[in-house]
Amino acid sequence: MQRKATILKIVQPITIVLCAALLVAMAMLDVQQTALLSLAVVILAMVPYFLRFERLRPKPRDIVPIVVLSVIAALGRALFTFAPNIQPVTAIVIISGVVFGSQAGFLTGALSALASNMVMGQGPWTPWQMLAWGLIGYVAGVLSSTIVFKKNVFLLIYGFIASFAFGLIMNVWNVYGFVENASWQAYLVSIAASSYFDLIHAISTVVFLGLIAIPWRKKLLRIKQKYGMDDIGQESQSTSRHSV
Amino acid sequence: MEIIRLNNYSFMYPKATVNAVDSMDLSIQKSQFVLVCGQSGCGKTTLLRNLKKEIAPHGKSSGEIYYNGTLLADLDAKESASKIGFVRQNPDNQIVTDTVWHELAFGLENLGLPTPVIRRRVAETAHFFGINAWFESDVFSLSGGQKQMLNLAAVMAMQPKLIILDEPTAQLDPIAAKEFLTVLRRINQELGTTVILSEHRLEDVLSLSDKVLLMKDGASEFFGSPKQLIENMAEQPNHVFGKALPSASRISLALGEKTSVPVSVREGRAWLKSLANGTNFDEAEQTITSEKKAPVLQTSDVWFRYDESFVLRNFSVVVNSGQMMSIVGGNASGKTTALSVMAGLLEPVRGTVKLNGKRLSKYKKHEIYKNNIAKLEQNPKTMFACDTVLADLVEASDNEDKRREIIAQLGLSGLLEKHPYDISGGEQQKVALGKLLLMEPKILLLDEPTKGIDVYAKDELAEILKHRCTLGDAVVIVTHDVEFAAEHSDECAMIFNGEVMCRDKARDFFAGNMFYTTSANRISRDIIPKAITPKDVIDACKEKQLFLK
Amino acid sequence: MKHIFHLYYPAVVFLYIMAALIFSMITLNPVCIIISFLAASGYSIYLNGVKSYLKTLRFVAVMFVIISIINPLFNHNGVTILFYMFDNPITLEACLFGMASGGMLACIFIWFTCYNKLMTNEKFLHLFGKAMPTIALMLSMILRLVPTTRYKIKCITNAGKAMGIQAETRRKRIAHGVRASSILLSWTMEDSIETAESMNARGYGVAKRTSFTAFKWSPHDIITGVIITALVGAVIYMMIVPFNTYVYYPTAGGELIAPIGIVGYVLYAILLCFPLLLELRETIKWR
Repeated sequence: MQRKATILKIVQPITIVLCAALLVAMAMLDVQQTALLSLAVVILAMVPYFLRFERLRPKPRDIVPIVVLSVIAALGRALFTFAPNIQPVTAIVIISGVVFGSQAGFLTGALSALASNMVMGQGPWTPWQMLAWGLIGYVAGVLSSTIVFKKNVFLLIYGFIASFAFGLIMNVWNVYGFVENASWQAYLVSIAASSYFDLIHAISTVVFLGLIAIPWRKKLLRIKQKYGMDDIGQESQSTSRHSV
Repeated sequence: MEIIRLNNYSFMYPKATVNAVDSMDLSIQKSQFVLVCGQSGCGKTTLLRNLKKEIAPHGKSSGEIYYNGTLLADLDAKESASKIGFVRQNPDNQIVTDTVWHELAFGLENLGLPTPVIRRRVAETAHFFGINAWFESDVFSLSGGQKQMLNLAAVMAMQPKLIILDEPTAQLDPIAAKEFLTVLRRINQELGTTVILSEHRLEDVLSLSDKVLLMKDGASEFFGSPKQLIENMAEQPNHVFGKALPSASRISLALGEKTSVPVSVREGRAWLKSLANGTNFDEAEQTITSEKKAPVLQTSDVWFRYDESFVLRNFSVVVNSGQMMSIVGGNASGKTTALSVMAGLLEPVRGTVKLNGKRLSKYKKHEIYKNNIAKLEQNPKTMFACDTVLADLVEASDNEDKRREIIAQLGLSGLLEKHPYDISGGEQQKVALGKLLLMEPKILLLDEPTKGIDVYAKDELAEILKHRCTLGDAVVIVTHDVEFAAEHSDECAMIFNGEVMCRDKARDFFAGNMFYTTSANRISRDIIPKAITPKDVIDACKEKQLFLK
Repeated sequence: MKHIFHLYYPAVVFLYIMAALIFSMITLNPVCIIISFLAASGYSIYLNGVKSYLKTLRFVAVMFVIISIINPLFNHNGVTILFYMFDNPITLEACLFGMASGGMLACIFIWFTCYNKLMTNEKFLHLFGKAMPTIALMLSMILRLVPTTRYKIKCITNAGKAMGIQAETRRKRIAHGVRASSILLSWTMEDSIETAESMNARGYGVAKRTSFTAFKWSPHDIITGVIITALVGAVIYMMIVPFNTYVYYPTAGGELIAPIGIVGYVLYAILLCFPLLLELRETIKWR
């Protein structure tokens, strides 16, 4: 069980790279029906993350923070529907990754997207959003184990960059979903067209991180400590704990 | 046959200096109904949680706990999960999934049972608990009582031999609480399941139990039958626990009964009848308080609705300064909505709310809540924004003198450095109230302030509120707790279907009610007119020289 | 509103709606697009009502127009040049192709409104519960917490208001939002710990979890499933050969109404209208 989980840990980034390559190849080879294929590729890219999480046999205390943060993120997103691209999801996902580790980060991102669309309506964009937010949380988790994130400034910078990365990923969908022959040019046009909204997104993420998420970090760390929660999938040593 | 045995068991929390459970020896037989009681903080919850290893708290323990002759720690995980059930106080937080049927199946899924078996067990359980009608419902649409019933049913679906319940009715209204206890009794009697129950509302539960464990400072102070417990209490008239006993027992103990102390209302009535033996009690003299109280908050002909149907219809009350008023009523009678309208949080569709003679809508928002109205929400957790109690109090007011005064008044000095989530429910209630009092309100509106707190905390709360009244504040509480309303309020109003059906001095109010009244009134009705609290009954009897020597 | 698929086994429903979505995504045959559009519209109106459908339609129409315009601007394939814009040829074929892909996307959007109604969360969880039990459970927990948390937010705002915390200026409003969010986090987090304990107490993780479902295969489901599968098979065949005879480049054209094509269209229409036909049968039966 544990071995498979470890293998999956290595597989995760590889799949992402492979899927990205696949998407590029699709564009270069002039493949038809890109909308469907790209959707399939994106879903495929998430499989190793979900599978690994299943294999890790998460305990209830690993599960509930992810669930709670996803719910808050989804409701937060619903709260700001009047202002497109102002939403706290990205900030919350980042904090989840930072506090609870990369696996939790990915899950929070993916489930926030899925949950908020359960409220607001699913569409072909759902898997793309799941992947995009999932990766933001995942990378936040990976970086959190480095020293960089000890300083809040870097967290803000990451939030800014991540929001644009989100835009980059969603633009891939825009190109494959809506444009006949995917090409670099179309992608660049799409990026240019969305850059204003991405900027709003990035600014809102930084604001939410600064106002909400960073104070939350302290609260979450306290709860984590009080109830003895681990980062899931960090090969923790504390197996001797008898309770949860 | 023993199902639970404790051998000199002690437990200490990390960083603590005293044992939370102290050298406990205990033996519980199969199919018994055991009641665990004691003041908040006596170690009830810690003891109960130690009996269920999945949720046993962290800490140091010594001694042994046996389940069915096996050391609890050695018990197989599957066996432990299914054979020992646990139900807690808060109905909401224990529910995991989104639908009733899924929740019933949750534990069975965990055990890895195949679908046909789960299907059968779920159906059976739903039938036993009478939840067929809301089997497919969303959990969110259930009432608190239904949610708690679901929690019990979900545990029972796993077919446990022992169920442990930690104050399961504390958050329920009296009717739902009685229903819950009735089902619990059925489980105990019809299925032979052992029940260990902790409760602070003994009125209904004492007569159900086979054994009572009274705890004090983590140790067992008494373990025996309810009858023995009461006899034991008869010998120690000043025991703190005396207050928590059922009204019938309190009355008879105070009047000198030592041997056949009644427990239930029915027994109490028979006992009182034989004591009174035809004595004619006069109508208690009305001490008419002639001092005219000034109305500070007034609603007249208020109508309110969230959607199509009206929640409040022609709701009119007058709140006077220096008085405590209780608004009682069943579930969904519009109580909470009424309080929100009075607080100016909801705008009435029709009718007016007047604060000091001026319409509420004419006030600027911040004027209403500055030194005027303050409202305590049902859940004190809605008010904790900081990491320590002190910081939370500072958030409400940075005036140090005022703060010191409130801290002294409410007895919060021991809590200041603690995190608001690390203190008990009663303490949280007090801190939240403290935050409100720091805003120096003239009118205090409280929504179910006695929910989930024990008799001692209730008394403390009553003292605080009465003190506010003597300072000239008006206090309005909305509550299910008729005993509290009868004992402490000056005036009561009953709201039904969004309308105030009757409003009277507390005494006249309850004396005039047939169903919606206190146990003491039920016991003494037809014998002593207008006695609504145990104290009334005791005083009336003593006055007539009616007591046993 | 109850619809007939409400009663069917989730896999059958999923098979149908996925077939509708995927077929709509992969064919650019104009007749197929029109069939899909009509079927999707009919079913969407049936499931969601006219009002909701018109709202979707408004959005979809805008999208259709934009895509129809954008494609010829970027794509200069095709031989029939209509005019030049910024020195680039605008071709008839690219215009037609743009309209076709716009129509295709419109269909997908409308089908998704049906998907949202058909694949209730319960059905969705049932389908994926077996493969990913933990994730499915988490989704169920999320569904449970969304309304509860919304209620908590309301309580917190009310408590704040009654404490005199009012949002008069924008700065204050932000400060209060931050305060409320922090209360919400602590509250929900602490409560969820109790949920975690409740899960442990009921044996979460002691054995390999099974997934209980209230859904059960009935002969009726199997028959329906077989019929839909057969239709799907037939339409796949049609997709590979006859429908593909229509091309857009270099010149738009092809055999749109060959005899075998007509059979294909009929089968395609039957597949897409399948639930509507079931409803029709039911209505006749009960009259």
